[in-house]
Amino acid sequence: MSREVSPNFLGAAFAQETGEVPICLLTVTHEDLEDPIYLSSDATTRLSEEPLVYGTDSRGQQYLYLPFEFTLPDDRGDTPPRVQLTMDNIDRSLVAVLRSFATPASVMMEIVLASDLDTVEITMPALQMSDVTIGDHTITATLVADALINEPHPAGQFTPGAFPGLF
Amino acid sequence: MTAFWPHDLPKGFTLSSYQETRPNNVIYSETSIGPAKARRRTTSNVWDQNGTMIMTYGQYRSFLSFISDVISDGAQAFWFPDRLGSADLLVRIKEPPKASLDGNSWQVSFALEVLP
Repeated sequence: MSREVSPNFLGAAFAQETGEVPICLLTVTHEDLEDPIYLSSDATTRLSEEPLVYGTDSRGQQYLYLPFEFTLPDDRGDTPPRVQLTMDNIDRSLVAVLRSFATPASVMMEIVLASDLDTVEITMPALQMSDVTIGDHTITATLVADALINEPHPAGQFTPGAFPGLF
Repeated sequence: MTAFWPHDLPKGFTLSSYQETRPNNVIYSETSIGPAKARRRTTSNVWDQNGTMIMTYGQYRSFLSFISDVISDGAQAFWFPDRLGSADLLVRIKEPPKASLDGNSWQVSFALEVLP
């Protein structure tokens, strides 16, 4: 599967040396959350001094800096994409949020370049958070796409249980 | 409000002890042969400075009070005079300070992490 990315992104990816910084932006949504959680992998600007908060402004939204590492999902046809996400857990604020979820949170992952924060280069929507491991220093989560293989196909089957009037 | 470095304490480390380490902000590809590709790692990073300050007994008491009462043993950032004379730097204590007594003065060594 090919991706449409900007010439800037392609140039940075293929360059021998580049000053471009790819930034990962996460938007976490869940029915139990009043507002989405916006997270950034880069401390682009200091948003406030008291409390000390760093973050990234993109398309009018402030994404709060949370040190995390991620692996880009693969594009293999036989398995759904998986993203490994390792987040900082020093202030423990995410622990209560994660433990309050009874169902998986949805995570939208976007990649932007630091030189053009408003242009999204890669989007991975509809990833679901699973396999969360909470440690002293880090939280490790696996984000998986909602696998179509788990969906019933065809949607309706003419069986006595589903359509008793036919029998 | 972010705390300021106390006025009664030395404004910087002694000349002979001062050291600073700029951030390693470039990531290199691991190649078996040929030049590695290089990319900037992040848009802003921390860098370190460390050294020793000579303090009187009163200054050392003030320093200890500042560390424990104002910046929560170093967990909170504070403004510290810039060595180059520019605006104050936002810093955090990186390692617990070490102090030794030298006659009537204290030699206090500590490391600062300069925040973006």
